[in-house]
Amino acid sequence: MKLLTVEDEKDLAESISIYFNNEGNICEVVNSYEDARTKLNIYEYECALIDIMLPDGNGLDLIGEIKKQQPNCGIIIISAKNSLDDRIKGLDLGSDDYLTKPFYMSELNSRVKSVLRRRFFDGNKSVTFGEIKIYPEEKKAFVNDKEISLTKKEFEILVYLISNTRRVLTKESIAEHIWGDFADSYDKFDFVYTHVKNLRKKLSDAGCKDYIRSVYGTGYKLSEE
Amino acid sequence: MKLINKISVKFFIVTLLLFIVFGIVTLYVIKTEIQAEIDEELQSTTEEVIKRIEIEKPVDFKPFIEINQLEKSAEETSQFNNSILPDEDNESEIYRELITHKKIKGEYYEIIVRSSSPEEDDLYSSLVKVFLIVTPLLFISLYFVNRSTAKQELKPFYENLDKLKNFSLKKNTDIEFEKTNVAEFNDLNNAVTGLILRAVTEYKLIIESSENLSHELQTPIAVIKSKLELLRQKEDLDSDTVMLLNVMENNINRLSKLNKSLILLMRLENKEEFESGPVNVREILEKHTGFWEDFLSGKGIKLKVDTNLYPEINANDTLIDILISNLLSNACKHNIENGDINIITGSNFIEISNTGLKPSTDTGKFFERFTKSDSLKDSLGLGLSIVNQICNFYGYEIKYSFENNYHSIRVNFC
Repeated sequence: MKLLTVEDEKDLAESISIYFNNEGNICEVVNSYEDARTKLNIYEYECALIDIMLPDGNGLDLIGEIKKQQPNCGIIIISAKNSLDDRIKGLDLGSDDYLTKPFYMSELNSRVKSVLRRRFFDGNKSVTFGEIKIYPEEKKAFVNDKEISLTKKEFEILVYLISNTRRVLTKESIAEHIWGDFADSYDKFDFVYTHVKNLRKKLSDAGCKDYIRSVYGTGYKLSEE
Repeated sequence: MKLINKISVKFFIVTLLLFIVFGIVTLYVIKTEIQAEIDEELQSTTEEVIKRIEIEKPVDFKPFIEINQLEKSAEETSQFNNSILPDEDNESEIYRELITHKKIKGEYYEIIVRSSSPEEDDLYSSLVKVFLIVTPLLFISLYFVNRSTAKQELKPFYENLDKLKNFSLKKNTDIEFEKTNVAEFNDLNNAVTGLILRAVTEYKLIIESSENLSHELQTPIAVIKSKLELLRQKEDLDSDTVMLLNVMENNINRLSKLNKSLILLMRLENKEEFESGPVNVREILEKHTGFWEDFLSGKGIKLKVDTNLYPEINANDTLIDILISNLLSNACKHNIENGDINIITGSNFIEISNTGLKPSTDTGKFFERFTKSDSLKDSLGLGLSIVNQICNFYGYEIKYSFENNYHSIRVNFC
């Protein structure tokens, strides 16, 4: 997939592009409003990641621009402003999602994939990994075409893992994905552990290979190896 | 002591002293006047008596007029004296007397003319009487003058004082002082108005710059967090490195959360505008109770939700989300093993109560920043402070109570 990142903080933009390019995507980076407009005039993108506070303009204005020129392009706002109304404004203007800095790359990746699924496959797109097939919008998971029953949290963890295959996901990032960043439960790592344990059991009970690897001291990784 | 009373006491004491001086002077002046008058009278009486003796019709009216013929010759003199003589009731009385030695028709006479002079005691007692009548009158009138002054002249002063007492930089309101015709009060009002104006401007500046600073902080935090995540993806990290990364990630998240919370608090304190609309409290409540399921079942805590009616409120849904999330997380974290959490909602309130240990810190401090119980090192101590600020922001009433080992916090959305 082809992404455009509009972010004036070069170090952050670089992290984003490295993370996405590693997965075989094309992630282009611009650091200003004007550069973003130029790029949008020439190339087509599947998703744009837009910072609101740009040195030469407001990222929110880019949303209208994109809506006009490339109505198929998904839009995710990434902003340092934890502003409760910029989010609403952004979503009103037609952005698909909103992420507040700082965020996990894996979270951003998962959001991008979710936006793309909704945009390009009417939300019915299934995602497959080995014997596992999930329908994220319908919240259904299958192993070898047989539906397995997962709790909401187990399902969310599975989607998160599949969105970030072959990536190391920290327990912290999984916890934040499920509970959001205002829920600061001090036992959350234990709960992540329990849910992953149950998920693994349910998958293997259904005859699935154990793809979920524990990464020592860190978290988990979904991988075929 | 009130200023007006202080002034009055001083005034009263000075008046009292002046009264005493006035009394003494009056006494002295009156005495001198009376004596002069009496002496004059005695003199004219003496002259009259001499005339009578000359025409040989002397008068003798003891003790007021006494004529004695002297045996031997004497010098002609006249002398004023005070003498004490017994009267008919044998009580001694003071007399003023003029003793004149005079040669009339070759004979020597001693003429004594007396007049009873008013007793000093009488004068004193009269003065004291006046004093005793005037002083209470003075006191009473001072009291009433004070009262009416306090009521009328000091009224704007007290009203302004109340306004100042209720003033808070956070409330962001200007103070309109009552006008008075007392110069000092107006000076004070002007000075205070200027002070408030400067304080408000500086406070806004501080809030704005700390808000900007906090926003600026988010970017480097985001950069560090993203680089840490990229570092995690490296193959063959040894366990020491992983531990270091964990500590760093943990702390960068803490920093970020702290920063986000502070930004939120500042925005609330600064009364910034938040988009608002109808809030689905039910959805928010269900979401958050869902979040805490694991924790609750792990600790054997029973959650009872009694919600037939949900509050209908118009607010920013994220703020209400944070409010409920913090209340619930507070009830979970400060709970005990196998405890309870009860959530009750009504058309205009939400009450969350939980079992827990008796509060060790001052419960009034619960809503202050960075108040946390020692057992929860992970908590930032900002949760309830944020709840309180959100309530302040929307004018909701928040009440904490501890009864029968249940902590309960009730928010009235009024």
